Amino acid sequence: MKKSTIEAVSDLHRGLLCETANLEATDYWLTADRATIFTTYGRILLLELYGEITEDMAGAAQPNFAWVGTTPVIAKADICAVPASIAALNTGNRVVWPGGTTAGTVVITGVEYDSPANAGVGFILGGVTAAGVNFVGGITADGSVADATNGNVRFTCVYAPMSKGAYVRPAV
Amino acid sequence: MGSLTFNYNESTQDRVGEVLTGIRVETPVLTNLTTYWTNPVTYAIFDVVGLVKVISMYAEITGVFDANATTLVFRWTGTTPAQGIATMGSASASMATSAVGSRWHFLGPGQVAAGPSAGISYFPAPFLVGGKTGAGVNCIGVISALVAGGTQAAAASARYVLHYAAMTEGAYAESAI
Repeated sequence: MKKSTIEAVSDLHRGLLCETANLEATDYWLTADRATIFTTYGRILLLELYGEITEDMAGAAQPNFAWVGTTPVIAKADICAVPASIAALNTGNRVVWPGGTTAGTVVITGVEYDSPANAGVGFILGGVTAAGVNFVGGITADGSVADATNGNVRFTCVYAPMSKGAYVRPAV
Repeated sequence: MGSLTFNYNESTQDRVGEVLTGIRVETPVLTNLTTYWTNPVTYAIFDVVGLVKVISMYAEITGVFDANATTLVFRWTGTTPAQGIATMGSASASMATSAVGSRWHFLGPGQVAAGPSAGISYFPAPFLVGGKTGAGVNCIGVISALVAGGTQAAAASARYVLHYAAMTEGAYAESAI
């Protein structure tokens, strides 16, 4: 099977996938909420969301993820609860959005390159206006408690469109 | 900047979405308060032919609801063969002050529930409606909405959205409005 066919079948099986650049964790996992990592257009079903550590972490950050509406303006709301400190995570560990409900705790268990995936139901994010225009919003990587002082991370988002023209693209 | 595995055409993105979340049908945005948001009106929202798997069904708020305690019930009625109106679940909690972007989901036999905040809601468990007769003929029925409590008096509006999969040959659903 050609690589393109394998990838297309995978998209159908697990959803469309996009990922950010390799980012400095010190720019995203800080005490204060930080930055949009993915821009959402329209109504999408979020299936997987995780950050894969690409350089060993330091600093007792306790990260989470949130969604915020840009157009129309909708206040940022967490889509999961913060885990324990990720200071000890190494390259290959993942910080995984758990799905289920917004009370679910970010999953940081597992070993390098071997982690649980989202175990809960997906979330529907965004929407469509009365005029039929797709919402624009952002999935943000947020911190709390303490700053990350070292480490790199690449975020991955897997989703399915649920309105005409809906999609997700990396913001960074 | 990050990357996409594929940069599909919009139409392909839509098809992938339907493969993963079901075929999507929507009502228009319903703005007429007397017809759609006054207790105790009831109205058909989706016509169903055959057996379909309801993968996700919800009212998506497009005009903010006022403080009146409107509640919502989804119901099923068989047309052919005839079957009386049956509630598909208990009534929702009050939809008062629902913001634009809020979704009120049908969650199976339990209830209709709101997502945790505007723009964010949970993907529910699937549900089967309709069927096929002993002679192999697809049943015909209707999913309806009942405004079970509280009348909206300001500028409430919403659309109903159904994501489904056909479970019998020739089965489908479409907006009834």
